[in-house]
Amino acid sequence: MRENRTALICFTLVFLFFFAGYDANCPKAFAQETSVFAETGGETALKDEYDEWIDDLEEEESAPQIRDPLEGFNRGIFAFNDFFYFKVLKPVARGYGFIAPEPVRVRVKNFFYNIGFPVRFVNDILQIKFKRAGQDTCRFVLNSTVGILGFFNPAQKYPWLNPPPEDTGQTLGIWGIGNGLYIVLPIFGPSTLRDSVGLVGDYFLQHVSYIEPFYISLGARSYEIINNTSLSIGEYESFKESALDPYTALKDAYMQHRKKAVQE
Amino acid sequence: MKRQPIIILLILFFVIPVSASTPADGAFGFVSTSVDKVLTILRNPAFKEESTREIQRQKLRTVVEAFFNYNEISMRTLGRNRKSFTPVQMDEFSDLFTRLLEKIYLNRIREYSDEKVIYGKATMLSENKAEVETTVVTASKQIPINYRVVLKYGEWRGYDVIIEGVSLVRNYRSQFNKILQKKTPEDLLQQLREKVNKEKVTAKKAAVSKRNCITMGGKFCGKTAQL
Repeated sequence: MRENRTALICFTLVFLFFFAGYDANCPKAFAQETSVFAETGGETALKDEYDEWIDDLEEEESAPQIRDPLEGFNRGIFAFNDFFYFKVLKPVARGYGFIAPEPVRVRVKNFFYNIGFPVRFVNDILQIKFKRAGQDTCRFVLNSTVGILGFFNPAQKYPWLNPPPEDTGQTLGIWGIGNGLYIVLPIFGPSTLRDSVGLVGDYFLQHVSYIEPFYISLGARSYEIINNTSLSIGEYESFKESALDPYTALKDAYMQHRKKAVQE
Repeated sequence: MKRQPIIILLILFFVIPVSASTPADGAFGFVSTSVDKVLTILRNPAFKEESTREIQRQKLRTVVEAFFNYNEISMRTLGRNRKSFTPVQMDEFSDLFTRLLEKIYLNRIREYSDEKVIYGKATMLSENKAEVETTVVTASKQIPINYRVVLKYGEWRGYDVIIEGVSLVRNYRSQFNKILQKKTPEDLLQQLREKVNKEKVTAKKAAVSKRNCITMGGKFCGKTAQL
């Protein structure tokens, strides 16, 4: 039974790779990666219909603000996260960065991004973005093979193989579900009611969540967070430094970021 | 002989679209020359010395000041709140906020001065506004930085910078709205004054820590040390 299921998954992947992937210029990327006579340059990015978005000032000004009835509570969690970042996460990530050189950490980041493929793929399908599902599948297959288990990122060179990542929160947004209210989650940071539900969905779509025993799963997740943090030390600091009210600044930045992500 | 006018027309048909430049091209040219100027100054090895830092800062300021339309930016960030500002307060606000934005933008671009900047397409947002896409490619990721420019009095000037999908103007507007809900314009100005002056101190501190890191043999030069 289990073998049957694996076969079915493989078949689906191969099918998507050859059919949807063809549309996503996948053979071209493969030919270039595997051929010694590869021609470089002269590629034009496929124009994506979702790229087209126009944000007018009028629309911008009338855009509804996210409700934040839990502000007092959220500010408390925000303060905790700030403390946690400076006292725990940053020192640990620094120490880790001292041991592991940057290229290694970039490879690890690539690896984790690559195995996050099911989240992107399932949500592409749920949002009826079949072409993007093909692009994501192609990226996954290319990076897992030519890119050796995803540690390398040969797909990076091809703009059409780097579609913006989709997640369950965005799918819910596409389905017309509103943000609800603003919530700051411990450690995970800014979120909304909808995106928090989305995070639960994402959880079930990740391999890492199914690793037994649970502490290895938790360890893998923590390692991913530490690794990613080590590559972005200084960003939160400069963000905080430039803000007059860091809480409001982060809330607005998150909302703008998510709005764009849903639109794409 | 009769054919000549047709041939001329044909030639014109092929030549004109090539030579005519669209408004989007103008916006693109304006942004790319300005960004290139900033990057050239940042990458100039002559400014690696601590003693020439101030000259570099001055040069950068000149380019950035010529790039942004600060009046437009101030109006946009304050939005409806500008009505509660007196002209004197408005002037001071414009001046302080300009200095803050300059610093933020320069600090941000300074971090990326060794990275590759790729220019994307320019899109018209309305008849006199355009958005020019750029991407900064670092070892670990790609950061989209888009510039919004407006054509006024025959000149393009920047009125917003959108980093990773987050508009600076909108972000500050939300903060100013929040502050002005409970406080007066004078309180906001005071906060800005403190911020701008504090930024100066941290810039000095960062310069000192950078000097230290150079004297220590470059061992402790993290990205954070670069301001």
